[in-house]
Amino acid sequence: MRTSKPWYVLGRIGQAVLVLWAAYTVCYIILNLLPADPLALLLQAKGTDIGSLNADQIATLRHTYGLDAGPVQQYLTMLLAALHGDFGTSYTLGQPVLPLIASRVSSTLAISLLALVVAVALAFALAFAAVFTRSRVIRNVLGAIPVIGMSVPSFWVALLLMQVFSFSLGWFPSMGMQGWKSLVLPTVTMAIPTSALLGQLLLSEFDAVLESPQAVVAKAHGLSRTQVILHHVVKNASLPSLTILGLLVGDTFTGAIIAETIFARQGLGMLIQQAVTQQDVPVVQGAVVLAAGAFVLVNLIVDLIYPLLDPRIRI
Amino acid sequence: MTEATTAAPAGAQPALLDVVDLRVSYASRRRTVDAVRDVTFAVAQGERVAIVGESGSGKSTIIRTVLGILPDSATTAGQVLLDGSDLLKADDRQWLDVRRTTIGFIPQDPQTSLDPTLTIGRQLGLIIRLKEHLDGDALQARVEQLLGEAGFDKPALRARQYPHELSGGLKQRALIAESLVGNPRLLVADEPTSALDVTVQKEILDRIDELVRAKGLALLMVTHDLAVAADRADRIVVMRNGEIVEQGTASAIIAHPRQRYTIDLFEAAPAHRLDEASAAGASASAAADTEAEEADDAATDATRNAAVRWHGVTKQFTLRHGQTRTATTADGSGARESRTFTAVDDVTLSAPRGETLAIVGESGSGKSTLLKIALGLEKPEHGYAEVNGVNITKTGGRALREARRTFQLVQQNPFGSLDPTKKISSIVAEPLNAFHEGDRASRRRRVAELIDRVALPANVLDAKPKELSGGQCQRVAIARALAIRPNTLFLDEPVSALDVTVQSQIIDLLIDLQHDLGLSYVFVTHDLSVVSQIAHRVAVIEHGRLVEQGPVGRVLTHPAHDYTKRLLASVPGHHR
Repeated sequence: MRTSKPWYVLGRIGQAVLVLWAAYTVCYIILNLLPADPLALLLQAKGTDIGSLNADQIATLRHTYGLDAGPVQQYLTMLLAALHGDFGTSYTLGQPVLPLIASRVSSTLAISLLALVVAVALAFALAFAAVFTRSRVIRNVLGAIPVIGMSVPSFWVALLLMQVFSFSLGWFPSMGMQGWKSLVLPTVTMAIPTSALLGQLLLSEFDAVLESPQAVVAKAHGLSRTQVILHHVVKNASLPSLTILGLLVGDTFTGAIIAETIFARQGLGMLIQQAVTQQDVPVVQGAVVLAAGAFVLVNLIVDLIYPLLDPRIRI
Repeated sequence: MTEATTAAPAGAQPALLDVVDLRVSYASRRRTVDAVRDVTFAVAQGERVAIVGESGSGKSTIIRTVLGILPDSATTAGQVLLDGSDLLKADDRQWLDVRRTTIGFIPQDPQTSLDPTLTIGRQLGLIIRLKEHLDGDALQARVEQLLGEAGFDKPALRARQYPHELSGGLKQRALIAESLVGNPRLLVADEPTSALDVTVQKEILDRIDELVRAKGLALLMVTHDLAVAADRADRIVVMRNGEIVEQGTASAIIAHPRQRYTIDLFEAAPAHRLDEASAAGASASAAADTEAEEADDAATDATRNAAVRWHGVTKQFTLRHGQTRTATTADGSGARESRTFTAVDDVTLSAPRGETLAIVGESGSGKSTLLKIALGLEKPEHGYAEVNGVNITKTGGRALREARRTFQLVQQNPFGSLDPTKKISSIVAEPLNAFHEGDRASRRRRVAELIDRVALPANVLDAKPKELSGGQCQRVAIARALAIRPNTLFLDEPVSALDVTVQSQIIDLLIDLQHDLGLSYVFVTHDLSVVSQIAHRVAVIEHGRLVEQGPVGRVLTHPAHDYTKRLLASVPGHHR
C-alpha cells in the first residue's frame, strides 16, 4: 500500500484527465448538433441581426471567429486553447469564460458546501433519532421523512420557503446575495434532496448493522445498546453513504441551478441556466468541464478517505 | 417439574444455570411459532453441558434466551435462573450486569462476528475497559494476556491486526478471548466450530476445553454433532422440534440412547459413519490393497475410459494491485506472499466412469478451482481438463455448449442455487429449455418423472423454493441436474449445508441414482465421513497439490500422507 499509493494517485489523475477530455468532447459534439448558427447567436448577443449583413461581411466575421474551419479543425483549435486555460469568450456577456466562471464560483461553492454540511447533519440526526427511539410510531414517521424529502420537487420547496420565511415572516430575504441571511433559504433548498437520499441510506444501514451478527455478539459481550451503536454501528453503517456522497456532487450543480434561479443569486448555477437557454456555447462548455472536474476530484478524495475508515479496502 | 429433577447431576453442586419449563415463541404477522417448548435442564458450576439437535430444534434459541439477545418478536415463559435469580424477569440494567460479570459468549460464525473496521486489540480492549475497568498499559497487558490464553502465538502483534487479516480459526480465537473478559463463570458457545475446517475445529474445541478445565468454568455448548458433544461434554441434552428428547450424562447417552432420534443422530455423526466405513474397508482391505495397487497401475490405462480427467493442471490467480494473501500459519506477521497465488499446482487426476471420485481438502485447498476448470469456468495456465473425452480447456463456444449436455453441476447451497421467484416445475425444466429438449408436453412429463425420481411428492411442482426444506431444495437441484440426462455430475459440497440426518438421505439418493443411471460423480467435499459413504476413489488436496489418491478403503484405513492422517484424526469422536 505504501509503495503503490503515489502510483495509484497518478493513475487516478490520468483517469481524471481522460474524463475531463471526454466531457469536453462530448459536450462539443452535442452543442454542434444544435441547429443554431453560432455566428447568428454571437451577433445577436451584440445586438446585430445576421440577416442585415451581406455574404462578404458574414464570411469575414466567420474567419475572425474561427468559424470557417471544419468542425474537426475548430475542435482542435478550441481544445488547444482550452489546454492553455482559454475557454473562449462568452457570446452573450463578451467576457472570457474562465474569469467569468471564477467570479461566480465562490458564492455557489458557499451554498453548496453549506448545503452539504446541513444535509449530512440532518441525515445523521434522522438516523440517530430513528435508532434510539423506543416508539414504533415515531420510528415509522421518521422512516417516511426521507421518502417525502425525495418526492417533493426542489423548486416547489424553494417557492414554499420563500412564501413562508420571506413574505409571511420576513426572516430571510427572498433574493440577492447580501449578508449571511441570504444564504439560508438557498442552502435549505439544496440540502433537502441530498439529506433525504443520505437519510434513507443511513436509516437502512443503521438497522442492518444493528441486526448483524457483529452487533449481536457485541451486545452479548456486555455492550449496552448505546455503546454498540457508537462503537460499531455508526462507522460501519456510514461507509456506503460516503460513496453516495461522492456521486451526489453531480446533483449539486442541478441543485445550484434551481436554487440560484429562484432566489436570484448571481452564481454559477444561474450562469449555467442563462448560458444554456441562450446557447452560449463557450460558457456551457466551460461549466461542463468544471462540473466534470469537481466530480472527479471529490470522488478521488472519497476513494482516498475510504481505506482510512475501512481497513479491508486497500489502494 | 420439581427442583429435584432439575438439578440433575446427583449430589452435584447447586446449579449455576437452571432452566425450568422454558417456552419461547416467535410471533410473525400471521401466526405464533413455538421455537422451544417445556425445556428443563441445569448446568452446575464447572459442568460442561452440550445441547445437540438439528437446525430448527430450538437449540440456538435457548442460547439466545440465556444471553438475552432474542429478537423483539420473541416471547418467553418459564424460568431461566442464574444463581437463583430469574433472567426472564431481568430489566436492561440487570441483563447488562449478567453479561458483564457472569456469562461469556462464543458465537457461531467468526467471519461475521467481529467489527471489520477495528483491530482485534481495539475490539477486545473496548470490552475489557467496560468489564474490568482497566486503562493504558494495564489494558494493553490484559489484551495480550487474553489473546495468549485464547491461543495466539504473538499476541502483541496480533492485537494490531484487523479481522480480515486473520484466518477463520484465529478470528474464532479472538472471539474466545473476548468471551473470557470479566472472568465469567459460565461460557456459552453456539456451534463454535461449525463454520471452520475440520483440523481447525479440533484446535478450537481443544482450546475451549483447556480453558474451561483450567478456570473451572461451566460450559453450555450447542452443536449439531453428537460426536462432538460426546467428546466434550459431561452431560448431553438432545433436542428435536423445540423439545427435549432425552438428557443424561454423556457416557449414558452414548452407551444407551433411549430414543430412536438419538440413535439416528449418533449414526449420522461423521465419526460413526467413518468407523463403519473403515470397518468395512478393513475387512476387505487385504484383498483390496493389492487390487488397489493394481488398479492404481491400471489407472493409466483406465484414463482412456475416464469420465473426467485433469492433466497436469496448474491454475494461478494474480492478486489485484496491492492485494495480499495473509499467511495464516507460522509467524503470521501478515507477511505478503508473491503477487500470484497458485490455487492448483500440477494436478493430474482422473475420475473413473460409473464411479465416484471424491476430492477432499480444506477451504482454500483448490478443490473448487479444480471443479471450475473441469466445468470450463476457469482456464488453467498449464494442462487441460477433459470430460467424456472432450478437452474442455481447449474447447469453446458451440462445441463447449454441446459438451455440457453430458455433465452438470450440483452446488453447495441449495437455497442459493435455485431462483426464489420461480416454481419448482420451471426450475427443473430450465436445462430442458436451454437445450431445446422436446416439446412442452414432453418437458412436463420429464419434470414430473424427475421429481418422482428424486423422491419428492408431486405437489412440490407448484411450490417455490422457500416453501421447501434444505434437503428438498437439494433434491430439486439434483433433479434439475439430471434433466438433460447427463452421464457425469459434479457435486460441490452437496450436503455440507444440510443437517446430518438429511445428509444421509441425500447421499443414499445419490448412490441409488448412480446405481440406476450409471452416473459418474466428481464429489468435492471437506467431510471425510461423507467420502466413506459414497466414494470409490479419493483424492486429497492440500494447498493446491494432490498429496494422495487411491481407493477409498485404502486411503481411509491406511493413509499414506501426513495431511490425510491429520484430517482423519480431526474428525470428532473418531476412534474413541
